[in-house]
Amino acid sequence: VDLTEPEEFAELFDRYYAHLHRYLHRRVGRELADDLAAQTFAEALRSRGRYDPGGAGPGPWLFGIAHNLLRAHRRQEERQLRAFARTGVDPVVAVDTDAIAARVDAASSGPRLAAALARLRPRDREVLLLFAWAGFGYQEIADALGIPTGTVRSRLSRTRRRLRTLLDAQAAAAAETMEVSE
Amino acid sequence: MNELDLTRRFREEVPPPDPVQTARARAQVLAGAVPTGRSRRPQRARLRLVAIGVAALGLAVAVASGVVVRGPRVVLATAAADELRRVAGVAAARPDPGRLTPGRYWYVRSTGAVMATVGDQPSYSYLLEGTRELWVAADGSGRLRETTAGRPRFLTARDRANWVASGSPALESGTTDERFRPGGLSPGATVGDGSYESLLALPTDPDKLFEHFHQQAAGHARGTEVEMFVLVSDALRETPAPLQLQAALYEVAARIKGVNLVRRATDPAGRPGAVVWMVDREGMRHELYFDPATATPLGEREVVERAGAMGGLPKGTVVGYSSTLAAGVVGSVTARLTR
Repeated sequence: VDLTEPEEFAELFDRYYAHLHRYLHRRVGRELADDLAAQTFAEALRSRGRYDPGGAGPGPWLFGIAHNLLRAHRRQEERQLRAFARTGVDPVVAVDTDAIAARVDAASSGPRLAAALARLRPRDREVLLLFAWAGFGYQEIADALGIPTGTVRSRLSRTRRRLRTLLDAQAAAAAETMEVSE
Repeated sequence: MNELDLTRRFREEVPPPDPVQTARARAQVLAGAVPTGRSRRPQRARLRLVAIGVAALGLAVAVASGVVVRGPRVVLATAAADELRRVAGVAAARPDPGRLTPGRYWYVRSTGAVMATVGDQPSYSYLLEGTRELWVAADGSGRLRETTAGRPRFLTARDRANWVASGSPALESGTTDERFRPGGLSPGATVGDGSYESLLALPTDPDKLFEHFHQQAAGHARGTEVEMFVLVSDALRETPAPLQLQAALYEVAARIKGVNLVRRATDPAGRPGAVVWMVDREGMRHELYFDPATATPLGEREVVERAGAMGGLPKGTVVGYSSTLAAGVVGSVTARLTR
């Protein structure tokens, strides 16, 4: 890909915008995703001379830029996750749908997962969500975040372990609730 | 379903981007017009939706347990700017922590708590106090040790009741102690990509630094000014910012409109100091504590200012706080500072 060619850059936009936007939307909500997705491409256009065609591809490069922008919104992301955990209404989804429809039923794992995600370390959450939501492999995550592949592997497995522990603790708490109410 | 599948399904229902918005973004990007036309849409509609959802859930405001605090009594916006400007001068005269050279670590010990929520609906939220020790080198390698202990403080009486109804399960506490390879930790906190280089790349000219944070915060859901305030506060409290930069950060805080000051306050660890604070659009009050004599940042706290914020919490509910007890440069990941 020669990104200095305007057509090629336009093609890059068409290929990746929706994917990137969806990822950002899931992390911080639609409005911020609108801003951050556009800013990512604006920044990519500005720094396209620095794109390394020998890397893992334009996807990781773009997501890497997006993550640099996203980090400033870490608190916002965590607040939204905690609000979802607490109220059962996901503020990220409630913007677009009827608030009542956005309210998950009691059997949903949404609030529990939100609570657990909010408690992960920001850097661990990045790796997990690039893997689970962006569909990236180790090499692509390493490329996006500028860290060694080995670090990605160990961080992902540690994060999954931590997530399991957090979810198990919650499941145990929920089970006790049921026993008590029966 | 394992944790990875659960994560994959989380927020799976978000809709694709709006085609009109996409076309506009595409045109702006390709024209080289930086999309500074950030959305100025007011956040009210969204907040109202969420508020309705909360009301529908019947999350009535309950009389709080021990976490509620009284709001500051003194509100002096121009006094805040004057005081922050004065403190910037004091900061400039402080001993410089110096550059982090290889083999040296920025060490921070703090106490604090963030809100944790457990259980399916009805869930319960609580604060569990802990100590955090961070050793971070310029390359992002280092060590993080976190200990939580003590009695949980439930956010409201309802949270406590839900916990009791759940059989009063033990709440997660204990110690984690981890070593990190380069890139594992962020010496720059929320500055740029979190690297030490990003931190050092910040301009120390207050005008340019203000512009930097303004660009980063513009159009933020919480409000541009509040977001700037929080970013500046993070950079002050959590990073090995060089001396000139610390002074510039206080300068920038002085220029943010709507900052309030209480001259005589007590930080979350009970130490005397001054506090500057702002309230965001969602009704949360963000506080930054500092020692007016030395310009040392002491800590931060986040409190519900408008009843109903954060999913129906009463005014005065503390949802998180942190106090820096020691900070400075050390020679290894086992060395500690006492203050």
